[in-house]
Amino acid sequence: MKFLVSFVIGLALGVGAALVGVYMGPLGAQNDDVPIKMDDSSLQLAFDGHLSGALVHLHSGLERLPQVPADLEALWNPAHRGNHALVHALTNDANEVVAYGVKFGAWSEQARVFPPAAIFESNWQVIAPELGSFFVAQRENYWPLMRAAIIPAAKDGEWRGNFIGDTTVGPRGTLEGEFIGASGVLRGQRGVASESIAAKALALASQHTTGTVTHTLTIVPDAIVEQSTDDAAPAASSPLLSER
Amino acid sequence: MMRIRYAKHRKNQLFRSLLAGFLLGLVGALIAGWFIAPVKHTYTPSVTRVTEAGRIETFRIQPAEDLLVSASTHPEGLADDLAVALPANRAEVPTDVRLYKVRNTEDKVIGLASRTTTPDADDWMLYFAARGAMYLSVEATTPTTIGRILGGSESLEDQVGTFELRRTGDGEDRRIEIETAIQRAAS
Repeated sequence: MKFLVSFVIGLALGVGAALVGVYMGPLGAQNDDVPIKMDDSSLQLAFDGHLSGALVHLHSGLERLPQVPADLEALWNPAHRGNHALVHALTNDANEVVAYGVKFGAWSEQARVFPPAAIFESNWQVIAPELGSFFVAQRENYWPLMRAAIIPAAKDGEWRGNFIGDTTVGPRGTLEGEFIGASGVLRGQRGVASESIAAKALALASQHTTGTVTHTLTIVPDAIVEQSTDDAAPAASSPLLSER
Repeated sequence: MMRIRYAKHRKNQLFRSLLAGFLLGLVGALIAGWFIAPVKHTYTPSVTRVTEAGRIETFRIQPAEDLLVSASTHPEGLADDLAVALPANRAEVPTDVRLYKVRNTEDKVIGLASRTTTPDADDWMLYFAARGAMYLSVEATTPTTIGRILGGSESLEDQVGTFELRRTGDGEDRRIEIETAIQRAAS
């Protein structure tokens, strides 16, 4: 009996050591920094990244996060389990609202405990009234942010520090997301996209989050895609205007 | 002397069982962490048919029941409990954003939909956590609303085609039906 107890204690210590090693270890501590080559056709849009900074944040309630606004119905349907729906106002570098974005996403089945990867598959639908509209498909890894800021904030109530990093890790093999232009001067354009975070403070309370967390969504179109003869509408000829 | 040796022997065996448990726990936890996916999405089979126009899949929205949020730069006149004000944009272009639940032809909720509109643009995104998203852009609204499927994400990546949006009924019985025709994978 003593040996069984000793074995079980050892088992628990081993599991604990594995979890501590995963959390504290160097694996997955930072997403690879992929310098995104920008040019005059690129676009950078920023938004308030702490979750209560969104105009709308609906989710299924699995995470202990507030709904925004608080009186909106949660995504309780089984089909929406783990889903997140956000609406953000997107600003240029002069802090002017130049676009609105809807972000749908969910934690991915590719998420793993070892090596740690908090993979979140997300999709942006962005409308920029002066330019047009576009979509972004991306795979994000939030583990570096969770380890650096979110878990400490959850433990202690708040976190202060300096976290800067990319969240986009795919689907392109170059660790970038896909940009697909839809209308206006962006119609027919395709390219890469990347999202990054700069965080200095985060506080988590049951009904509200506060903090200094800025996300930046960057899109870089490839060359203008040739329009097929099947398309009814003519291709846009105006260049994508830089917001920088 | 024998008793001391026996006590030492038992201590060693206890330590070995502790060590065996520790190693098994450590390696087992890492192996489990590698192979076991902590997230599993519910997959609802899609109802599709294949025609000359492509692979047809139809989605339904019942606005009275399925509208989740109605956000606008001009929220006056929207239902108060679902209305969210969008901050004015630099160009002061009126913009609307709506989020819906989306159903299949068996009226089962299978995902989410979003619609963004300005006077010059009208786009939809259909999202299913187990499959990915589909990106739609409206081309014309009269006599019927038709548009292009520009692509998508995950298993819907590179799927392009066309769609038709039909509105039926009125009042509480209003329905939006989006019939998508996937014609090919994008080159």
